[in-house]
Amino acid sequence: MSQSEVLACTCVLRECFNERIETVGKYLAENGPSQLRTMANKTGLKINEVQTALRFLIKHNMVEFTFDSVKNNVLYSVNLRNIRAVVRSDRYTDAIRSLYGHDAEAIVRDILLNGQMSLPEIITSVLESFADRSNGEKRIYEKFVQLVQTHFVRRCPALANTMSEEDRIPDLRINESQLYDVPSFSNVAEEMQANMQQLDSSKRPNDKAKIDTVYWCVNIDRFNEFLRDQTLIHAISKRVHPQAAEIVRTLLRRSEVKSPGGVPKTVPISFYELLEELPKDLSITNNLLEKWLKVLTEAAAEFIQQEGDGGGGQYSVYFQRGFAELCKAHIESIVQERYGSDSKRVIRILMMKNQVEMSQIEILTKIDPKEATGIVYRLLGDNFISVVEVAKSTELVPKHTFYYFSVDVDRVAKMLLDRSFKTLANLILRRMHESKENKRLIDKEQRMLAILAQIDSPEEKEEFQRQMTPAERTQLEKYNHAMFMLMKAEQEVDETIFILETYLSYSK
Amino acid sequence: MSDMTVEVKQEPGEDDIQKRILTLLKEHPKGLKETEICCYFQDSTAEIVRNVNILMQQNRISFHLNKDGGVLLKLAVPSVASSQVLDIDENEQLVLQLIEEVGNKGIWRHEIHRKSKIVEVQLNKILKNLTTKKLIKPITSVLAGKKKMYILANLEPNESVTGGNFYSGQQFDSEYFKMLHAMCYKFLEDKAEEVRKLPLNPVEQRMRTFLSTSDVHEAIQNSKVSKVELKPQEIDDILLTLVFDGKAEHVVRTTAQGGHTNYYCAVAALIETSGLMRTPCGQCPLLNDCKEGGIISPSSCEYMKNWLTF
Repeated sequence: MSQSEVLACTCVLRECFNERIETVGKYLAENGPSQLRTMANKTGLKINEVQTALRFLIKHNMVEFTFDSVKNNVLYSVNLRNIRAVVRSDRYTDAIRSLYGHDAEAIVRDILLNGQMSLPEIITSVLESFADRSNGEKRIYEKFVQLVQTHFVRRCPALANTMSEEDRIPDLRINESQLYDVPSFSNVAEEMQANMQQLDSSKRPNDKAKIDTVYWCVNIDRFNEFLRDQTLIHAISKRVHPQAAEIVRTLLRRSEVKSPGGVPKTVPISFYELLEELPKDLSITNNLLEKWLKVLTEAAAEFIQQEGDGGGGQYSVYFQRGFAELCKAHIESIVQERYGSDSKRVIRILMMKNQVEMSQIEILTKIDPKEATGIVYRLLGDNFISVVEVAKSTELVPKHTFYYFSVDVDRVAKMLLDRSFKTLANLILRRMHESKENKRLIDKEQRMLAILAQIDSPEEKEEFQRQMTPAERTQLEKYNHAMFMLMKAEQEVDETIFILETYLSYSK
Repeated sequence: MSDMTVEVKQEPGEDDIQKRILTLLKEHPKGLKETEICCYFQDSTAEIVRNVNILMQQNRISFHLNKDGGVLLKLAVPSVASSQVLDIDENEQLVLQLIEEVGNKGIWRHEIHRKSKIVEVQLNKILKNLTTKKLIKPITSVLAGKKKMYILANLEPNESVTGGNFYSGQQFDSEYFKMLHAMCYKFLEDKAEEVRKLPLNPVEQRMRTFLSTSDVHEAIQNSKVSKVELKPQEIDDILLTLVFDGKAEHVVRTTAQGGHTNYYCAVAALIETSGLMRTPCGQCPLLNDCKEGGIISPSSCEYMKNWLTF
């Protein structure tokens, strides 16, 4: 939880929600678990304002609460990872669309927008976006079941039956076995019917949720695992061949049910299991699969290895090593873009060979010795490389000392992650600045679009459109382009963040 | 020590002693002290000393200074120092011998001073003398340009001193190297492209994409880009820099004769440019000072402004 991560998260809160929520989130991020009263005092907000903000954040799984029995009060703490998941939400919805289609995408998008939803709420909400609503509920339900079975959506902890009046906080708990338990369609339909009747009879929205309503939320861990797999497959597709990447995709799919989360490598999958599991349309024969596996274990040795010989050969995908390679590739790319190709060569050598002397660097890299010295000291100054001094004599005389240079990949990864968070924050801040600068124009365009929708005749439309001057139109185009660039850059920086943080999670 | 210019008359029977001394020295290539030689023979010390002097005069044995400063006698190797009729004194001969011993690696002036224990001023004179007589020549090493090194006049300095073909004079010829580097990469890429078009199975495709050092060497020779003939080791060095650039992969295969051959193939990058570097903040030297509301901020950033209008 570094300063730049906190900055990035507060920017996300400010842009997506409002300043009050940002203030509360920021206070919790900077000060750790806190009480309600302390928050109100220190932030200058009123108690009910803080409560509203907290309610919102809790619903979005961004704040958690615990009861501190020692101090006898409730403590709220922030979950920065879930705040940053907002940035990644487009990637999540794209992933679901590619796997299960538009309906599933709509479900996930709605749940992400609302934090936690009950199944009737989900179905109602998604149905509104459908043009053709016939049999809509059943379709949505089936897609929902598919999402839960593949663990992309899970139940939120529910109120325990053992609650009593004296409990200061709601006792929310859930069993592992219940996490992915979907009620039957008939039950859901009944519930929806009951809701509709209540709505009709009371003629006002039913605010009070029933105590035993089941709420569902997006399983961020599962999505991150999926993205992890996608990243590895994409890398292998580039390094080896797209067909080889499909084989790895199948291997990962087969092992995802068997491997527990957070492990450095998958459970070994046998050759025959793999052959069986491969999609038929790839038409990969026994012989071809054997050949591809041989090439993979050589050309992509850090990503996939043969573990044993049983069942025609046992193969595992290595997450830890694979992500170490990807992290190093990012470090090299960053060094190359900032300092040049010669510097990239130097840092690659240092990452490949553990401790190298300056003379060895000069000989191996074949760079002019004067330049090589300059490069090494620049990288040293910017903390990409570190130096160890080994004295030949008892006194530390430079002439009689060995200087060994090396790269501490973990430390560099942390430094770059920090930089990435700062960049993310800057991109969001710039976006907000651009929107503020062009507020007048944006509002004008919105009003015009609303009115244009109501005008029928083309001549009148044209006449009306002339209300916006060419200069304003150019300005608006520039603004739209700027927003597009900033959004795209945000996604790209988030990809770098994902690789760096996944690597660091394995190396702990 | 004996006076070299005086002729010593050889007496009969001394031949035998001399032969024995020479045989003994052959068996001890590291050299023996005069006293040690005496231990081996029953002849009187005087006799042995006399014969040692004769042999030295005939230049069949030579004396060397060992680490303790003592004198060792060794079988003389036919050398420049002795084979010519030289008008040089013993100090100059010593210096010449030291230079000769290191062969084509060259010896640092400071080292000569340390080993011969000759005073600096005198050493300078000796070196100057030997240079004018064209017996030795000064050279400079690429590894330490400031050190004055000397080598026998008729020898060429070896690779570690001159740097090989990549160095012209004392400078590393980076233009030449970059050209060769680009050429080698092109060969590897072309080979990969060629093999990709063939309808082979994956294993064969991978095997065929690799080129050996000699393949690349031949290709470079045929293209005639280099006026100088490059050695296979130098080609290996160039190909290794491609591996260090992340553009090539290196594999060692054992040949039928039991030797090792280096094989290289072009390799695709693992990722496109890192996302962080596609933003101006990735390159910015002032990121640590950048703060909203400060002088340097995202809202007022010039780099951002230029980047957004791109």
